[in-house]
Amino acid sequence: MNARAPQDGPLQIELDHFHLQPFQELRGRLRQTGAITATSLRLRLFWFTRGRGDEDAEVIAEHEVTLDQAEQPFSFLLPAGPYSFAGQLITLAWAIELVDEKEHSLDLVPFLLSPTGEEIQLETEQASSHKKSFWKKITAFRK
Amino acid sequence: MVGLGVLATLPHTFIAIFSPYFKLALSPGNLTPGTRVTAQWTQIGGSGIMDEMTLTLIGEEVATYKQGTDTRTAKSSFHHQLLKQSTRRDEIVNGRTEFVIPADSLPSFESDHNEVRWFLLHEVKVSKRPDVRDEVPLTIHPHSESDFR
Repeated sequence: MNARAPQDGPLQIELDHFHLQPFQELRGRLRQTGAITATSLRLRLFWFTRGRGDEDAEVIAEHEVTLDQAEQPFSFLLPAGPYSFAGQLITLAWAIELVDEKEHSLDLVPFLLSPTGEEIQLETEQASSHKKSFWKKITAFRK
Repeated sequence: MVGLGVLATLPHTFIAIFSPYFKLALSPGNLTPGTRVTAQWTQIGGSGIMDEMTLTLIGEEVATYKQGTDTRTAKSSFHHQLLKQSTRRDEIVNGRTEFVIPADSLPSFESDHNEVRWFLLHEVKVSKRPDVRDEVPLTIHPHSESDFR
């Protein structure tokens, strides 16, 4: 899984829609525009985080791809969540990624998943960063 | 130094044992955005002169990250809603309030290093005793499939 967008290659992911709701069917196609050396291809549906915290990601579904035409349609049934959101510390995004047998990313297309199809914006009310130290625990306790 | 710190907190910890403590019950148990919730609190032990109580709904991001050999945690609150505030002793001891989980709110989320958490913060100011400060976690689930039909 690689959340960086690769350069244009011989295979490109195209999605019908980029703003989707939970439980909808995500539809798209793989378009072949050049010669392919990969012996095995897989399409992944996954979410990943970005931001202050160490990055997390989870593959929700994966399809083996057989290219027998220049345009290969695909679809994924979307889950209940998690929703796409952008906060002060964490951003969660969804994407479809095409990988070869060596786990190299051939293409990646992000999309949004939420009840409105938009990214949920978290407004900050109070931000703090702290390293838990014994001294801080004591001073907080004594307030 | 560490030993002195521990000694300094001991009287406070000891007194806190006798502070009031509460049971907080929520209905319904299964929460999604837009759910109307009843929160009910009851003092079930401890003693002290209680001056004021507040009940607050809080949503916050929690991000954990490595910095060198340390593990740090950053928090940012994105929702802070006062649900109840009272100085009446009978209401502090036993009371209830209703509220609605915001319909457009982000459900709870938890992964290895990132979390969106919701909780009720129940605070009671107690004379000559440590204040009560209980966090009751809420799990807000995403909408179900029937909500989109």
